[in-house]
Amino acid sequence: MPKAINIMDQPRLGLAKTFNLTVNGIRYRVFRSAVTVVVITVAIAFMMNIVAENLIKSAMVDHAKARLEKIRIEAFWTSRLMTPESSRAILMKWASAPDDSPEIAESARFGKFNDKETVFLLEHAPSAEGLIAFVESLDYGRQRLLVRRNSGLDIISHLSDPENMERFKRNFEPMRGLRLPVTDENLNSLISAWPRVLELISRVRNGHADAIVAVKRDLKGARLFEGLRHADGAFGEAVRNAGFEFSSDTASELARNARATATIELVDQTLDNQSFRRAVAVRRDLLPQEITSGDVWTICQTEAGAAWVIEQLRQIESLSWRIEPDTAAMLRFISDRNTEERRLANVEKMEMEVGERMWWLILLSMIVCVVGISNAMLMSVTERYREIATFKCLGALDSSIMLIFVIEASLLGLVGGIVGSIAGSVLGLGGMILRFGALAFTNFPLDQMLLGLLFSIFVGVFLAAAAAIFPSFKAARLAPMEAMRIE
Amino acid sequence: MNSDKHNPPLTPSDARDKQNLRVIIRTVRLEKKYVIKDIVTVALKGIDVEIFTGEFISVMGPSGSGKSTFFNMVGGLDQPSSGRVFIDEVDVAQLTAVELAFLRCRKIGYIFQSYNLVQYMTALENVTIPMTFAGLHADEARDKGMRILDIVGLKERWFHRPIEMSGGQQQRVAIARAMANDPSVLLCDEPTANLDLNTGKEILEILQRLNKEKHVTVICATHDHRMLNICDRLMWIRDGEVERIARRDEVNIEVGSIGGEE
Ligand SMILES: Nc1ncnc2c1ncn2[C@@H]1O[C@H](COP(=O)(O)OP(=O)(O)OP(=O)(O)O)[C@@H](O)[C@H]1O
Ligand SMILES: [Mg+2]
Repeated sequence: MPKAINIMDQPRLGLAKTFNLTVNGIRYRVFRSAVTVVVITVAIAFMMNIVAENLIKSAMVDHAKARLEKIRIEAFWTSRLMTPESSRAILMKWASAPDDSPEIAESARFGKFNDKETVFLLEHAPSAEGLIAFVESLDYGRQRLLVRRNSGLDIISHLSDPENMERFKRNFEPMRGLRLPVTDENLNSLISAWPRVLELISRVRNGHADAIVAVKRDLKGARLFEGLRHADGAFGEAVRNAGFEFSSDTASELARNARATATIELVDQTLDNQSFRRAVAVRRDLLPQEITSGDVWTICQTEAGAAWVIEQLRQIESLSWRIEPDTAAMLRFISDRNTEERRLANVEKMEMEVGERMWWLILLSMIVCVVGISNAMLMSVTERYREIATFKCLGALDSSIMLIFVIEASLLGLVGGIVGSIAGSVLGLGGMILRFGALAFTNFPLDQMLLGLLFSIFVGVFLAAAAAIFPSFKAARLAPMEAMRIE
Repeated sequence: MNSDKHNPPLTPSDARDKQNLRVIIRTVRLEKKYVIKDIVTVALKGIDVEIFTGEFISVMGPSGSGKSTFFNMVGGLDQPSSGRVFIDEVDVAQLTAVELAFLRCRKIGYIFQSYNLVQYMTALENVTIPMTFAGLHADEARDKGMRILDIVGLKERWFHRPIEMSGGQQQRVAIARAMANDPSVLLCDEPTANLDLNTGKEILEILQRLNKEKHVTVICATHDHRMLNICDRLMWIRDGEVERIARRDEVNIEVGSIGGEE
């Protein structure tokens, strides 16, 4: 009974079986697989280290910027409450702030605008500011050609004279590559609206000046600084009544800063007192003449230290009346702020490192990943061509062979990716803690770090799988004996 | 030595008439050239042979004559440069990749000169991969694998890896693997070359038993003269050409004198 050969289609090896076969393979070749995993781990860790470090850095820089913003707020309001804004500043505000923003509302209040006037200024401010900014961005020679020596709002006033406008247009014609930010039509309507725009702006200025006078009256001869200490109370109310857009957040921030400044003054004065100086010297184990206010702030780093300073202050007759209920809290607040600001100074230096350089580093680390991982996978697949050929002789489908290698690579990539990204984050975070201490955790970008982790793991799996596909496809497609001959 | 009684007459005409045997493998002007850097080696120069279902044919020839190349072509492991291979009257060149995989998996068993075992797998696993590819359940595959390992005498060593075994033992694992899916054709490339006399004899007996009891067609390259006791026909290849094909009884007389010399 001779056997006939009925040729049919070879069934596919199920995913589960392929997976088993692969996992067994990895188990048996533990050492070789471990080497590949280590390469992937190192590459991913390198990348994740850089990503983590930069995420933390940029979060810190953001934080530092926000802090600086807060410090600037004081200078901003001191100046607002003392001198009216320039016409140009008012124009810029109307050109760029959103129509319904508090700044515009405040400005309109100062100018006592009706709705029509508000709309009118909102309509013409952008083209006016656009034209001025455009002319000012040109080099000096061209500026002179176009508008002579005028600058700022005077530019448009100058152009309001038809003769000057004629000259402007004539001289602008041959300036190649330049384009006016306004159409001719807009320009004409702007020129005709200009006198009224100027009038509205000066009304805002005058209104602002009046408001400043009102605030001053309320201060009753006290310094502005004294008033700001109560910005979160009666004084703040007065500022608001005068027409200023003075939010309660801003008010309390300013009040706290002002009180802090008062406390700093107080501490500076204590150092004139010899018995206080001696007490601090004993506590700091220094000579009295070496004591500076820095030593006092160091003492204030702890709750107990601040209480001790208050205790000493009470004994100084000339100063004890200046102790207020929140002075102890202020002492702690300033001491913390000082430490933080010292660290922030470092962060500011770091700002340059972030930005473009960060992308370079990430790109570089990606290249390291691509090269490292694909090399490792290429090696581990090519050294198994003979095995691929053998599998083919035994009836494996091309697709099964590729699946085996892709699954294997993905698993190795997954393990390497997980270990590597965790190691990289830990290293990155560790480095940041070494450099900046607890500051590394302020504004810690947890979401982004988790995303970064997932991304790195994905990169590991993806690169490993992609690098395995090519050589295994090459070998699986060949006739078995051809595959056996490569090497 | 010349005492075989059940020796089917196997000239082509005899076979077709009396035993109703069919041609299972047929090659038509089979040629294979290897090209390495513009240097062309012609390994096979137009081979025409017919191999019948259930026969045991030995292929002999000096080293480099093209035996292994012939095997690869016949087994569908490599593509001929020209000419055709028909397996059961199906042109191998016409088969799809999936059908070729089916053919290699279940219809042909391969025994290589260099074993080609998967180094990181145990003896048992090496035997069971073809079964896995054929879709056999893992438990069934293990039982069947153990049975086959028992046949080749390696039951106790099922958990050994190839590097932990002698060349002969590895070859026996390879034979067990070739038998995994009960193939119709067994292609053996010098299966006894690395075995001691006794195991060599055992292997030949296994092959003979497969041939006689399961009617597996065995095509066997060899330098082993004991093969002459078993095979139905002999084929000589020299420089990629068929030098002679003869029934065993036709050559027995000549071999007798050779045997005398030994
Ligand atoms: N991959 C190859 N590339 C180039 N030439 C090859 C290749 N394989 C075999 N050959 C050549 O083809 C011819 C036949 O080789 P083959 O391996 O078929 O001989 P063989 O009869 O099996 O020899 P042996 O008895 O030593 O196994 C030889 O001349 C060999 O050099
Ligand atoms: Mg050979």
